[in-house]
Amino acid sequence: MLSYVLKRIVGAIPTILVVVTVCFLMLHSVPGGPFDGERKVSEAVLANLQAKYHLDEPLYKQYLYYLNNLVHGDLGASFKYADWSVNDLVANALPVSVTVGGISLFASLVIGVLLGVIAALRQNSVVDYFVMFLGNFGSAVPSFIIGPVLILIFCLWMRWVPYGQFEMSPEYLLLPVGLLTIINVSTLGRVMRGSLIEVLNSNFIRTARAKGLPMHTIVIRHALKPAMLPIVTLLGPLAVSSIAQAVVTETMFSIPGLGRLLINGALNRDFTLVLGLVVLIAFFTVLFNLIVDIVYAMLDPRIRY
Amino acid sequence: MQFTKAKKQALAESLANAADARTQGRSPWADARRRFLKNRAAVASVVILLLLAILVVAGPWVLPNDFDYTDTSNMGIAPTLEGWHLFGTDDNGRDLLVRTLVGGRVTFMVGLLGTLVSVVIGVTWGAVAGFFGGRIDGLMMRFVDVMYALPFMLFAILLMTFFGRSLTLMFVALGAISWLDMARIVRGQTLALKSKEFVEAAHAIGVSRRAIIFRHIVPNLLGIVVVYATVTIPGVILTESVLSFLGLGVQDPMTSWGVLVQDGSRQMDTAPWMLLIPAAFLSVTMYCANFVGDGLRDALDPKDR
Repeated sequence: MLSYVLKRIVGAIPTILVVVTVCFLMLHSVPGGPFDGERKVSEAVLANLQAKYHLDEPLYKQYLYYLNNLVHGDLGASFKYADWSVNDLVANALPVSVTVGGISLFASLVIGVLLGVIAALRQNSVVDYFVMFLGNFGSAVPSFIIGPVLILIFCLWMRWVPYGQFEMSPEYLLLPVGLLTIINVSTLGRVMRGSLIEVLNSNFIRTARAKGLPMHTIVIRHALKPAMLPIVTLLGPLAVSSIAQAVVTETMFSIPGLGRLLINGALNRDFTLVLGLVVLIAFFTVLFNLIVDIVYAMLDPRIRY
Repeated sequence: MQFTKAKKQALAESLANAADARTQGRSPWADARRRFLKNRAAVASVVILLLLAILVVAGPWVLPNDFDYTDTSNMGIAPTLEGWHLFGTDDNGRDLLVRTLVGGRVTFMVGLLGTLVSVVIGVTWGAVAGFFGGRIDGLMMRFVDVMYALPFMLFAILLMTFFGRSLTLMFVALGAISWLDMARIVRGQTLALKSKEFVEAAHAIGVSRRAIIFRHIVPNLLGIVVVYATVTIPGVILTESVLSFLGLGVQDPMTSWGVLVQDGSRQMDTAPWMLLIPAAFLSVTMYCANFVGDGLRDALDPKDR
């Protein structure tokens, strides 16, 4: 197991390297630098700034500088926020994103699995129709429509939750977490329903029923574990999209998280910030996929590493 | 047993018809069409999409208002029959009905052209990789794997911020990130096709490899390509509207449904219709596009026969 984990980590390095290289080249091949702001900067100041950030040196040198810093865990200095390093910015945004994304991920896992199980056991019931509807809804109605409509209903019409400058308190967390949860549950519920129905039709379940086991024992002891496998697979990408890439949600509720940082970095042409976030997202992707594979082996006795 | 003349004739006719049906058989395409037409949701969606397309194309010609004419005496009015402001006007006094329709044009166009770009790249990439095989195939497919590892939304944001915001570049950018599935599917099909006799025959009479790919293999891929293109369209539309919502896509005074939703969500406390109308248009389109895509896929999926 340990050697497998090590192999995976080593195997992920080329992927991250390619991602970094592609983004680095993309960011540096476009016209317009980080200092082409509204305010004209004098030649001398510009030269100084460029020298400070090594922008006056050839591209391959800049690339090597960046990689060297990266290996030492330093994502560089932000171009836009002069006194901040990218590490600081990320360190500030990460807890917020992890809180919002983490809570919603946990909530959607519980709700999605529960709804999916009920829908699979009681096909054509109200819950089943709800899960199917939510599945269609989630893939058709984009989050940036659901979000404002939620705000409209719960903040402006019902006045149940406050709307405005985000704070880390339950009443401000409710809607963004709810939005992410709705989106995640729409996928998780549908997948859970489908996979449980499939498992319940398999031979070993028929054997269990033939033995005379009660239905709830069959579901909990025998069917749930294999039926969870597709859910686990989904959790990897969902975790990345809820925590590191909740761009729309964080913009809509002005949450100072990683997604907001990414958008601001892109808008300000803050190369190092965007690159740093790319590295972080790639890292998250690799990490969550690794966790998924390990959980897989725990759930499915046929898989051994 | 005695047959009357009429009965004899009827019997002969029905036998002839049966024999006819047997000899004619059913082509897979007729089969697929029959299955698709039986899918009510999909057929209804096609009708709705066609109506919407006619509406957004013809509407702005027929209606008296211009999409970018600012009428300072009629700013932010509610929906009214007066002056054909059926959806009201925005805070610049621009007619929202016409803006919604023009935005729809952009959204439809981006969906179609973006998908077209993705089809061109995906089919070429997949067909070449599948046809040549070996090391070229390995290299090209490895590249696709790396692209999969790149966070999709992030890539879209990067492309849009750094390669300008013109509409043409938008099609290209959206197509350039949506071709991966297409390439994989086409490669698989090409692998199966290239061992067929007609390809061998073409080889034997000295047709160039380029001509074999584009004259013999690609036309045979058409069916599956059309289906997956249909599935791609809603994804491209969604990406465009998310980008426009974030302010990275279509720029003022041009508009799209994503832009309109964003504008509307800024004024939803005083003018909720500004949010709800474009949101409804976008949601209906996404629903229908999803139904059509799923319907086509189900109709052509040999597994379900």
